[in-house]
Amino acid sequence: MYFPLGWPNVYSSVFPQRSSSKHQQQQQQQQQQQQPHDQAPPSDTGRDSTAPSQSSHNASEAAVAVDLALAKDSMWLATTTHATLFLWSYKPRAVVAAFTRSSESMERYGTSKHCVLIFSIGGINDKARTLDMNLTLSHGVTMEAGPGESAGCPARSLVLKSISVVDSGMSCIASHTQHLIIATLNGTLQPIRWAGHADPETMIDLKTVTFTSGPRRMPENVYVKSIDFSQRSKTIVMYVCVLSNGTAVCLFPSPASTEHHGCWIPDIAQAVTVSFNPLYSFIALGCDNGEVMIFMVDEKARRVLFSHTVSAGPAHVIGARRFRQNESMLRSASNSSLSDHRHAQNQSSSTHHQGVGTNGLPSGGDNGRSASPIPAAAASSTSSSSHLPHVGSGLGAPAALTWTNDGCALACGWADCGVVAVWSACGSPLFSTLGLNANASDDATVRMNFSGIRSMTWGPEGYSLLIAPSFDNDGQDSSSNGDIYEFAFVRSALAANSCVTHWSHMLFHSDDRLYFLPSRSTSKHVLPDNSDGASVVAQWLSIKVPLTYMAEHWPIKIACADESGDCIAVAGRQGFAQYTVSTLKWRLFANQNHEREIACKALHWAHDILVVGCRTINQESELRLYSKHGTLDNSTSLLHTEKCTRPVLLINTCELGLLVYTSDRMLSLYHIQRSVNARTGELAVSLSKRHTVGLTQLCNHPAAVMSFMITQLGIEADRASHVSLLLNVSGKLSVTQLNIATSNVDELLVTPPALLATSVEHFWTPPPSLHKRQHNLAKAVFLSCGAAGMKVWLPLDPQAESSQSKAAVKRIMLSFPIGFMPQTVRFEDAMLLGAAHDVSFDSATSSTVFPFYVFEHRSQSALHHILGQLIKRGHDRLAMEIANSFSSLPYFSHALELMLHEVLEEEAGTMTAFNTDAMLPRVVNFLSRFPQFLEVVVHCARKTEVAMWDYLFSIVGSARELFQQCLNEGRLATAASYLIILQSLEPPSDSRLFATLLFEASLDQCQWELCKDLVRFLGAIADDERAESRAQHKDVPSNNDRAFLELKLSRNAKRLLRTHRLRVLKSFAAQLHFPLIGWLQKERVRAALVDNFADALTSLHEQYHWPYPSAAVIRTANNCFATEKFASTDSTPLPHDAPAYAFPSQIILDAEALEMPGSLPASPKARGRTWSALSASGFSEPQGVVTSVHANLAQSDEARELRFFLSVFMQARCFEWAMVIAILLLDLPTLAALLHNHLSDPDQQAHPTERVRLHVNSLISSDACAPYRDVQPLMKLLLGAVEGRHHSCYTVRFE
Amino acid sequence: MLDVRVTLARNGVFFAGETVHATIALTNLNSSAKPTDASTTGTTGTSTSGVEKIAWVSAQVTCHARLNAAYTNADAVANNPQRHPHARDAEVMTDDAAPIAAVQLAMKQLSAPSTATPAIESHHHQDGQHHRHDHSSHHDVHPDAQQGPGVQSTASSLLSFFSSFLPGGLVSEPSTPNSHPPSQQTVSPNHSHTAHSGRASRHRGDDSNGVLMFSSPLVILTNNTLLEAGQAQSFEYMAPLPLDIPPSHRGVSAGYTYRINVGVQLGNADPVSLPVSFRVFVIQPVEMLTSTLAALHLDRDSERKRSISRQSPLPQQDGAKRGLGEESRQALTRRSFPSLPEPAGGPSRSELWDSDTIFELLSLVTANVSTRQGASKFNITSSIGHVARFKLRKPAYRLGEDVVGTFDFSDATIPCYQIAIHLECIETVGLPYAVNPQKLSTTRLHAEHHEFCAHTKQLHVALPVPQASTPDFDTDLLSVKWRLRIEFAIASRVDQGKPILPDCEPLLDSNETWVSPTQIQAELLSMTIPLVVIAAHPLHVHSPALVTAALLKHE
Repeated sequence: MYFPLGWPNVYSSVFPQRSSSKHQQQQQQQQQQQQPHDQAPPSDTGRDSTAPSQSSHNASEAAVAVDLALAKDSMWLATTTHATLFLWSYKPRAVVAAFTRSSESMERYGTSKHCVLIFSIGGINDKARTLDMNLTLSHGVTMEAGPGESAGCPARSLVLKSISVVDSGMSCIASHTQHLIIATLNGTLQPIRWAGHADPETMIDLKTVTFTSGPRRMPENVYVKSIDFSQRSKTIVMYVCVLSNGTAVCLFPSPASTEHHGCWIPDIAQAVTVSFNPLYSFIALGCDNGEVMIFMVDEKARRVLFSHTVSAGPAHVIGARRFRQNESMLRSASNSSLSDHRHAQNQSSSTHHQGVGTNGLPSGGDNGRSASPIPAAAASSTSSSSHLPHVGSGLGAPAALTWTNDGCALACGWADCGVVAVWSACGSPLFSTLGLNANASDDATVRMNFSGIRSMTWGPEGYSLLIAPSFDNDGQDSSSNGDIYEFAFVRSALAANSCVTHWSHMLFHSDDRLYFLPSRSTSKHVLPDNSDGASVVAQWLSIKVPLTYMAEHWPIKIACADESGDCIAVAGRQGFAQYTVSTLKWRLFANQNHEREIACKALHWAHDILVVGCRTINQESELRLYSKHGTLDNSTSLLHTEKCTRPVLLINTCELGLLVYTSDRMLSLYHIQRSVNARTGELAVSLSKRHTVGLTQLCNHPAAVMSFMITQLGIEADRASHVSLLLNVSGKLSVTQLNIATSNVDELLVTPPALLATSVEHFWTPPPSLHKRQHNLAKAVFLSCGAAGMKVWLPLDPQAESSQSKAAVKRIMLSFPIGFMPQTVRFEDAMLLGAAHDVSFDSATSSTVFPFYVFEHRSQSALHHILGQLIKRGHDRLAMEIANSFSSLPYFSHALELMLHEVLEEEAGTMTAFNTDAMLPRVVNFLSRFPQFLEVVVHCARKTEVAMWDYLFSIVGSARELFQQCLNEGRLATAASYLIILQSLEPPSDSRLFATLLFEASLDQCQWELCKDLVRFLGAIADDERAESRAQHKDVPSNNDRAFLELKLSRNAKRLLRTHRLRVLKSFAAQLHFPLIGWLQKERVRAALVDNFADALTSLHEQYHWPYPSAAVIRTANNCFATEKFASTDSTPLPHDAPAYAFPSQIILDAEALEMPGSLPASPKARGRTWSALSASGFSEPQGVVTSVHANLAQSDEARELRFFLSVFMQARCFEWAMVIAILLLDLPTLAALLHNHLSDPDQQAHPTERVRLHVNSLISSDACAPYRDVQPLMKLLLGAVEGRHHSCYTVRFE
Repeated sequence: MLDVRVTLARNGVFFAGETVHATIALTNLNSSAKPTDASTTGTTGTSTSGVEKIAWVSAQVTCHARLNAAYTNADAVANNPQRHPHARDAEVMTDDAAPIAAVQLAMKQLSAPSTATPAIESHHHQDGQHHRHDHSSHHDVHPDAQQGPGVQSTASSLLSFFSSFLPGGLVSEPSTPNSHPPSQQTVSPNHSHTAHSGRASRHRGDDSNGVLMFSSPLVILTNNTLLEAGQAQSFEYMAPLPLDIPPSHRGVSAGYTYRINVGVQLGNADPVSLPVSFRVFVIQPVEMLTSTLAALHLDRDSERKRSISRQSPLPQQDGAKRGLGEESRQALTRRSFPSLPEPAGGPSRSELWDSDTIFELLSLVTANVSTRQGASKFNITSSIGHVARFKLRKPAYRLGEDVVGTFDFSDATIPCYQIAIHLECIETVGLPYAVNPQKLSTTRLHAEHHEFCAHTKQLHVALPVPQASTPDFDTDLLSVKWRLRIEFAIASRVDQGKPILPDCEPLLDSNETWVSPTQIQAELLSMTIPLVVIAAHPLHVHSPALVTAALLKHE
């Protein structure tokens, strides 16, 4: 939601040159507080006034920033050092006034905590400006105003209005629009009017508070050390107080009587600071063990419930840690005694921190700490932990705890270790500086970082976190002491516009920029779990809002992209601007007055219409409908204006129309009527209000409604008039049925709201497009619940829901953890998309040691969680349905694997196979119904520790069986994965057996890569065995295994050759580096004999897609090798005893040459060598013949490969095979030579002529080879050889 | 009614040296005829059954230089003989043209047409409703006898179509359709330069195009195809881009635009052109890339590193007075187009890169240039004192990234009141082509940041390099360079010494309120820092329209 971006800015109220001056040791006190001027009481003459908080400081440095506070209207920032109060204009950021106290004032009031100084912010007139820059010598060049700077710095001064003395002494302070609330040391809460006088009637004495449960009364001598409150229309309805003994209470003041009621916040005994979130009704309590506990308060029932705990740390454990309650109760016993001791120590202690309650709403500030400083126990632990902090504890007490104005994020800063962390409202960790120091070890780094946080506040709209830090001050580097750090933040557009949840793009914005990730990028380029797509993760589109708009209307308040993701509307303080992503163009109001006349409160796209809920310059509330196209001008693009009685807070669209929620807690449903003027083509739009639902009963105050949606979910089909209203109020999501057929308001609500979930930050309903396609998640609702993870509200039977049976409408709520903050849900593939913050360290380039903060988008599949949860609850059938509908997803089997993995991790070690509660058997049973089962199991096993295998395989069945199953099913790659597991589980002899089985199977299936791996694997086993046996002094023949392997390979080669599979043989030899020629030479009279020429030929024709001689080819051949020329014996004969020709000395027989048949013949060198060798031995270049015979095939890869084999066989003197290929190629000269060699081969054992006769007979008798019978020269040649016409040689002449 | 949809692959972003890939899908939107009608269709005719006759579909890649007459002399550009290397004139490649060169052509179509060539593989659409059509009757519809005239009319209508479409393109005007033989010789290009210049000047006024810088051969994807009601047919079109072409650029003085021009003629209706724009990135300089590529192939690990370190383009530089290492910058942006020697089929033209290589190169170059350690640091000093230190996170940025820097005022001796940072690119027209030699450069602002900073100690700025902008490039006609221009409003000499902050030491006598001065005197100090902006990964670039659609109707 909120993520830091970039480096922090640093502001200083001290000009560098002057900062080094040391200040005299003097105890000082000063107070400041500031009042939002728009809510200043009318009686106040000054528009603004400041009021105190206090501290006493042993000031060794004068200019240390000790506190800061922001006015509610975000115009002013106040900071204090020990004697000076600075008033900053927020934009432009500049000090416009300062008040320095006199020494007399210091002496008189300074040393005690008994007085409040109230200032007013005065000015001569509102329009007066200060720090007006006059550019001299600039030749007419002017500087443009930056965002929000167009109005310049208003001139103001600080006027000390009153000094109120509180006799009993103050412990902490908070400010309210009407008055200040001062907690005194004698246990009262005392309001002081801004004018300066106390209001004794409204004073609350803690002793008079009655508690409904627990101890009825407060213990003696406690006082409030930190306070915040809940207000409703200017009156305070509840105080939340941390007491001096570490407990915390809620107080409900009753205006009429002095009897106030209260309730204890349960099980809390070491709280130090408090902050209240009115949106969620959350109370955040910072505890002195470093944790922040969040409680939910029900103001009506006056009840407080624990919600969750958050703690800082990058290795944050997600999930509410309720078990800590017991622990904290145990501790509280020991702490209560400690706190007394602490209290006693305080009196003498002079180390103090100061807190300032931010005005109005949430008030943080650890004011109590000034009276009750660092607890002894905590101090001892933090002193060591500040350099090596660890999660959760040891951080010491939080110094500052502050919610954003919109209640969506909580920031916490720790006093003693300088850590800052931010969480979403319901506890998702968003940002933490903890652990960063661990990376940077050098001293400079440590010194540059904060040593503590004094005070902290969110900037306007939460775009920045302003921090007043403290530093380890050794007196040498005091220049940084006055510094205020500002971390820039981006926030999700959902924070301000929480209704826009069913679109698949993501939009974030900072104060003047948009960060957009179009849905196209999220769907196409983002792969789950960073598998292969990590390198092409889409980038945020960074869009700067034009300065012409930003200069006046900074900052961005709301932003909203339309459904297509092409148009983005942005609203600042006034007006709005519109950006079109595809054209990269901004649309601004042509007339700036139109822009200034509205202040947008809500924005939403209804297709091509921008619906703007705004407040006009006349303080009227309106709904305005603007067209997407054309120039932005009220005269042309303003389509419709609808007056609203109350300010519009939220807008959403549903299938029925436009939903508008106004501050009177009414939800109105409008119907949008469009009509296009046929003549001009102009779009005319009007709104008609159909229904109004009063939400008064459902929410305490208007701002508590966070989002809503009207859908058909959970409604039976026959009740077409009924719809469901999903409503998120303060994180509580409820569903109500509405009867939209009725016009009677009373009949509208059919059922009372049913609570679905609490701590809901956002929820997502499926896009309407999904309803039409019977998608399995088309009726699911996704909920993001912060620390409680993600929830899915799923119909148990999607079919039954639309059927007539009423009883069948049942739904189930599943929940699972998620590692980031989801921003959108892609229903079609059950993908959760969100963002998380990250850091990029390049301290070499940065001037501070702060890392460069970035935020990156994340995605995670929800599928395995959903399936796992369904199985866990016994809904296997539904799980199966859902799984089947997603089975086409590319990462489906990965999701199954994740599901198995999670269950395994969870149960291994605690469960056994016989345990009936065990989930694993059920998950396995589920998975076994998928074809991916075997893979899923083995992939999962290989990613888990070996220790878990026992449990896994005790349930899925033994790995041996699974391996065997893989083998039987021919899934060799999977089997290979199992082999690796078997290797660890079984003795080496067994794994060798399995490997051998697999090796044989993979040879059978020609999976050469696997074969190669297995050769290595078997080799490794053999090595191991050898090493082992050597250790045992046994003598094992070392080349046993090698011989075994060779045998296997040779057997396979034999098999291939027997079955004439030359193509396979080629890749086999190439891939496995099988010495083909050598082997053929060995086998030339055994395996390398051809049993039947005809069969071999037909097989080769098939393998090589080689055509049988066609009529044309036969004709050519007959002409080419004219008989009389061909059969002559008169040319130079070769000597009988010599080999007919010198075969190429070496044939490249490596993988490359074999695998790429083109490369061998294509390389002229190789070809040249081969054929020159042949021609040197008396033949002419035979290629010409072949080219002329098989003209179109001669250059094909097949021909090259065949030629290659021809040469291989010739080299190995496997004449029979060579002859087959020569016949195939119709290479008669070679054939002639081969016949000659073959028949005169002295090595032949069998009678060669007989064999040739058999072959020739088979060729002649074969039907398939019939075309060869027509090649007369061939026949002549063969028959001649058979008949014993031993031609010494045949010469060929070419026509 | 015919729906034509052109979809670009790869996000519509391609690198020079890569192959442009687009899918052209045609769908007959007419409601399909009833089965009984369909059975009679084959014999009676086509007019009533909703069958659409597609005379031809063609595709071609073109690059035009768009020139702003105020800055650039179009005649000079058009007359430059160096323009021609890639301004191939349209060659119509009909389906019986034997070599389809490097253009691969695949066709998926519903019914196997009788005109299918070996280069075209036909597939049957596996869509349920399509099976109702009888393929044999389909063949009856266009017997071979119709082929001759069909091709003829194709060629002639193409001629008239493209002569209006390509500015410097076809010279021979078609007289009558039948007078031209239907072969590619009819439309063979005329390479006369004079003819070109004449055309170019004539077409200069036509603001839709500009001067043709490059065009791929025109490819006829199909002709004389019948598409029955409800049927769909799609074509894959691929065209290689040479390595030494200019990048897509939308400039003030000139620019380069790339398009795939898909032409469709439906029956005898007027041909319709459907131009689809795409973006082209170049990685410059080509020399550096080819050497990197060589190193890549030589040794995938060690050699690569060495070549990178050798070519580190931006040495660390302190001080703002001089630009970032001028020499290395030159090396990075050396002219590569179109001044490369132009032997036909030069190495860089024939060498086509596959996408993986491009990506690897890109990541190499970006890793090299963009994320090198060691930032650029600058001390900003005026004549009267130290103003600030400025640090850039890195010296080079990819499109879409933020230019990130910090200003550190902590040890300043002169207060700085306001700061303005402009991310600009400067576009310079080559002197021979400029209208006004005094006005060669134009500056375009892409992002700016202004902030009042009188009491600021450290200021962090991030200016996004728009994804739609052009990375650094340099051609004869045009070059684009990026820079940061920073202006400081610093305390004026006149005003110096007057505090704009209160003294924090407490006064001993009385409470004192300090009010900031109404007026501050300031003067301007400005500096520029050259930056390098390089292309981004295509999948990181958001490009708007990947699909262009048109609806063609019979008249």
